[in-house]
Amino acid sequence: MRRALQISMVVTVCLVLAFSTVSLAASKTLTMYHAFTSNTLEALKNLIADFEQENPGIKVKPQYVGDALMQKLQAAVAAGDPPDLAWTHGGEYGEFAKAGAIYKMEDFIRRPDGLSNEELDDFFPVMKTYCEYNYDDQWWVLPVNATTITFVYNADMFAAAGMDPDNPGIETWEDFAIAAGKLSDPQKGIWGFHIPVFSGGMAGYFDWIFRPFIWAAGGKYISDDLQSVAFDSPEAKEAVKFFYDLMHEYKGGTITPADQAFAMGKVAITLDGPWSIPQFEKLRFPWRTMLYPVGPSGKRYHPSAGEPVTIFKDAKYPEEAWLFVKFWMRTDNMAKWAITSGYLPTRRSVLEDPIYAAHVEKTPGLEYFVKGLDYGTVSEYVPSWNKVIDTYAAAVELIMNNKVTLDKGIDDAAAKANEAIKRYWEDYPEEYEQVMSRLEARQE
Amino acid sequence: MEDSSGRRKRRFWSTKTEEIVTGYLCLLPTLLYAAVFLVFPVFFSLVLSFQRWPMFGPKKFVGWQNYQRILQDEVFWLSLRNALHYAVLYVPLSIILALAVAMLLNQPIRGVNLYRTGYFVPVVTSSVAVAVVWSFLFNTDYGLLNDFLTRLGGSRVGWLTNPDIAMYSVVIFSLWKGLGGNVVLYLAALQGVPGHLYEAAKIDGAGPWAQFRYITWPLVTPTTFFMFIMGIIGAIQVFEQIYIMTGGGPMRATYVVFMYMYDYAFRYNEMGYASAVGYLMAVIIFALTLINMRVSSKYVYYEQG
Repeated sequence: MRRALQISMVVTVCLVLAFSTVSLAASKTLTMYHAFTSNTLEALKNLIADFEQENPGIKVKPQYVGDALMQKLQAAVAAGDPPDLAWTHGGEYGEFAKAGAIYKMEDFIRRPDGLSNEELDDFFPVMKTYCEYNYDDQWWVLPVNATTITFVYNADMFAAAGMDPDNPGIETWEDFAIAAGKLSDPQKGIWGFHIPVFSGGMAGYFDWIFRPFIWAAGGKYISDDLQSVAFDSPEAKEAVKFFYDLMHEYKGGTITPADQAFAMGKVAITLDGPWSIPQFEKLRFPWRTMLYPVGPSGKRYHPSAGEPVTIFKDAKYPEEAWLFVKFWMRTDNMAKWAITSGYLPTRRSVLEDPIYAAHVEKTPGLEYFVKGLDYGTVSEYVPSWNKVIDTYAAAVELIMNNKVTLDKGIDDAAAKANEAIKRYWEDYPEEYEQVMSRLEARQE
Repeated sequence: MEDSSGRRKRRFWSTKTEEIVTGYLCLLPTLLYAAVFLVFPVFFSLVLSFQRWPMFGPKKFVGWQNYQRILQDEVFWLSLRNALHYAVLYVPLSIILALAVAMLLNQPIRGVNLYRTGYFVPVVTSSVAVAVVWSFLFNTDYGLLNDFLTRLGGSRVGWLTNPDIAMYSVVIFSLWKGLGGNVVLYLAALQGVPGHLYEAAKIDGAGPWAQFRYITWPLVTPTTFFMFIMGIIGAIQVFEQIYIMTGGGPMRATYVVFMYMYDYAFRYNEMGYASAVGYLMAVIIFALTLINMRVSSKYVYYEQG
């Protein structure tokens, strides 16, 4: 009896589910996988509401899959039942591009109802790099979110040091070092800048500052053939020398990790991303942002990242999915999206959108986060990354503390890191093949 | 012998076999657990330690290569030295402190249970949470400790940022965190010391020091021995608090051997190498324990009986 009841319940549930799927299908519902939370989720809801209002007959059903996004997508693709659309972290879509599981966005873009060349040029240049696969110069996906890191500073401390907080005139490395020296008062434990020399779990923070400086000096982490590190080149060493001088010559920085040092007014300049703006707005002092300074190579670079949206080959409604993506990319919609989500827009023209311009006006620091995107960079692909960055950061820490000379410290670290790279390529022959073929493609 | 109504059932198993089977069936969950989570990993990692296994690639047998690489790596020796440094500081101090506190808490004082609970609270709080709190206390520029020091006219100490001091700060934290556990063990031991011994000693004119030296100390030596062995084993494996408080820095001054193993396993994805570190550590710990047992026969008092 009980068993019969159980069975009948299961059957009912199945029937209900089956019919609901059928009825959903009748109204052209796009499914979209994502891992958005809080503000971004809010932004997505607004975007969908606007889209559905403008496109009656099409519904978008967002499906939160959280941390399991990739596993869920892989399983859905393998089962031949992917969502119509998905947002992915950074370059994760590459796997699906390789497997032929997604449409090349290019297919939609180049049609009469696609995007014009002006519209494509409107994306920040670095965004295209995030959307290529194998450096093929093609749009495989379109970027919905951008982020960047820039310098944030305490306006009161700048004024106290005799600098104009609204126009501190920090253009070059030297300007930066001089300013940092002026802002510091070592006796009181007050510093112009905190030089983050971390390895281990904090290595990412170290990378935010060292990568743009190594690049701005004309150097790189890794050699072009990906067989050895390049952080021992004279150019890359100049970046370390800069921070060494900042600390020892200009007395403008400390490497001591100090929690909350910026918030407590003990460090004048820090670096952070736009996601921290809500925290900065709670500070007790006025704050501003500025760009990374120009290095000896005459260039400046910012760390940045982009996140794309993808349309799947086995989508039920690829045409409608394209309508949605196009709607999302529209300047006015992206402005609203960026304001609510807190991410940066991926197109320059959003800055001229009246709503977004007003938003920037209200959020003073935001301006240079967005402008930093013009100097955005893609992280270098470094085999055995953790080992390489740990070795490098450990050496820089010793150098900063005068435990080893700059040349010896960096050269020893390079030898160790090269060993790790060699070992990595031996361990991952398949990845080696792939990367090498990609390299060739890039050179052609 | 055949009988239509009460045919003698032929048992599939004899009673004895049945009992054995039932017994093992009852044990099965625990045995399975032990097999899957204890025995299997032990052997699996032993095999791994002779292999080269990038976590996302194929396994390859490499003989003693992992062990050779470890022994040639100066960072390994540095991390081992740091772990031993920690053990040498932590273990004796934790034992002395625990005995002292346990003897105080063994007195008939008012509210003794409150004190006992108080000392035990750090043991049951999440070590990650309290390590974060302590790293605030230790903060060079804004920490409470340096605030006191400067108010008293001292200068700031780089508790976690000075490479010569960071390890001591970690030891201070660990002492605070682990004290309660050892105190409980000593309390139990102290309460097992028969009161008549003290009475007899008093009659013979023994003062408090003599009572401690000739009664309390010898009678708690089995506990001391136990704590010493466990303390050494635990101290060499120290990880959590260092991971949270210093991340192994500054300048690798607190980079201990289990962080080294963790980095190789989960950040560099060299599982074979990390397993070899684990086995090397097992051998070192085993050797240290053997030495301890040898030495202990000289001082541990076992009641005849």
